Amino acid sequence: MHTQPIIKVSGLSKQFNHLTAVNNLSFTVQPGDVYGFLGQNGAGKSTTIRMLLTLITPTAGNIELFGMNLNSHRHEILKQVGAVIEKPDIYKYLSAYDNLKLFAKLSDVPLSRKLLLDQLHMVGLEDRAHDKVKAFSQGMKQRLGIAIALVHNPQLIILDEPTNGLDPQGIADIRNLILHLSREMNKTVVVSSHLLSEIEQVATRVLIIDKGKKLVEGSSAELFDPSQTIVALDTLNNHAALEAIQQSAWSGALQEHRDAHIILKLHRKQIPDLHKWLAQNDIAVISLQPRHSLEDYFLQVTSGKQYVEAFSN
Amino acid sequence: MWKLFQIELYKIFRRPRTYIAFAAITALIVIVQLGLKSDGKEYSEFIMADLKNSIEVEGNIVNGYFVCYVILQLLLIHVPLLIALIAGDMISGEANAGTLRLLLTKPVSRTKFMLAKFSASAVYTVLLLIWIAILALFASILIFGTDDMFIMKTQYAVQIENSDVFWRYCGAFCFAALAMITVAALGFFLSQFAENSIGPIVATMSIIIVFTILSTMSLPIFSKIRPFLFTTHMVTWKEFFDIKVNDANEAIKGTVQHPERLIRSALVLVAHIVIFISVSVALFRKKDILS
Repeated sequence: MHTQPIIKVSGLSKQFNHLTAVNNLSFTVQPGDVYGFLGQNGAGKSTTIRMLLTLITPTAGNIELFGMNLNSHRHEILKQVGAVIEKPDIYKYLSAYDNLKLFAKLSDVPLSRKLLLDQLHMVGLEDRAHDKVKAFSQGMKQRLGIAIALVHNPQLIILDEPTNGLDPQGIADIRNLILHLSREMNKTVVVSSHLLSEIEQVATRVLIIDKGKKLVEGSSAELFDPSQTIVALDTLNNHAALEAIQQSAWSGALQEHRDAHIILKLHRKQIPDLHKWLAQNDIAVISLQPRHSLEDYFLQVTSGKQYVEAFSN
Repeated sequence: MWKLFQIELYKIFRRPRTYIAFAAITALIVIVQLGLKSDGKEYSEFIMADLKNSIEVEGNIVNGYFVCYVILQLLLIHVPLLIALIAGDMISGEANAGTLRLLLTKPVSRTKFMLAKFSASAVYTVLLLIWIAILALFASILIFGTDDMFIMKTQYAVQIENSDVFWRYCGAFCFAALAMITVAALGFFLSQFAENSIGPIVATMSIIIVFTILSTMSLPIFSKIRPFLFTTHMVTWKEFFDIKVNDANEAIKGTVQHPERLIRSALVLVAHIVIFISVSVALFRKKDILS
């Protein structure tokens, strides 16, 4: 069955004077996706997200949300979108309840006191509803920001770096909230973060961009194929270990070899066999690290050979 | 638009900073009133010293109307700073606090957003002037009573009958409100170019100071631009206290000497407001929100 994408971006570009922040970017987000938006600092993630929210005008390209053109249907589209952009800056001289009420009014949502308090309860702020935001921690502000983003019950939630400045508990709370929104409330979520391990745990689809260009887009399962696991091997004598590997059945898995590390690419299931073979051949292993994670994949595709060089150094 | 306007007003009056202006004005006016209450007689003798030999004035010169005039002359030079504190912060303050991007992700039109913000700062300006009127006019009338109003101009003196004064103050305050809304429009216009409030506030005051100097310096080189500077027209409220006289040099009740000056100045100020706000909206509609 054909479903209409929630977001369809085609040939999107943004030029700031001589800097191309986003370069001919195209991607789609399907209903129900938790869409991880990844890239190094300055890759163009925030610029793209701001273009999706009409904060920045694209130099070229087309954006459709809910099947409508963003330029011509801005009002209708934004009614269905909730967003937290980087750190949640809210009116510090107002209470959590007053902030939520103010933004509910802006979103054309006449909410009762009970519903507003329920919303604060959802993000764990019901006890602090009438405290001024200036007394809130970063994590509490972030949760209030999310409550504001959700106050009008949007279909699409865009979170730009939502874990910035949060402690581990705060990060876990945001992760659980994203999963709750996606699984329990059937929301579509676009989330960007520099904490890539967090994205790996929640995203169903991932887009990686670098210097404003799309590098790769696909489902987490496609991108993190266990048969392509990268393994970094360090031994007491890497030169001898390398010779042994080159003369063995493992030679096909060999990727790079420098003084500091030997890099192999193999199926995740083969790692115990490699471990066993190394022991059988009296190769003294210092470490054998599988690097199959989004972070490594991300570094591989965004930095070319930086990954291998990092191990080599 | 109405909803946005209400929200902007709500935000202005929930901020402690808003009340600094009201407190400062209260303190200034009370100080002037106390000073005139204790030394009013000496003050009236001082201002009448040059005229003592030519005319005779009976009654209470330092009355409520006169005190209000003195306060307005002192205060309306400084009120622009208080207006700039709020108007210069309207956009830049939101950009600095990071709330601008959150507001603009909501389904609100940028044009309506800007108009609502400016309207709210205009309401603040009008309320500030109403507060000045309450303290400077009504409180002074209560403290000093009423009588004919006697004003010294550069080349002549004006005496206005007691019953002919109040409407002039109503007009003067309305005109002063228009002048101060022009200042608010300037501050608002500059506010969108910065991401902190200090820049627009200082820039607004700098422009007013420079333009005021150009407006008041009687050098021929500035005479061509003077009519186009809004600062030239900000003090036109004083025209309400320049009464028309007949051939016998008697004051004609209910008239002003140069009503055309009032109309021209009002039109120049309105034109400035329209230009500042139109350009602000046009630029803001295309502005990339990077804060």
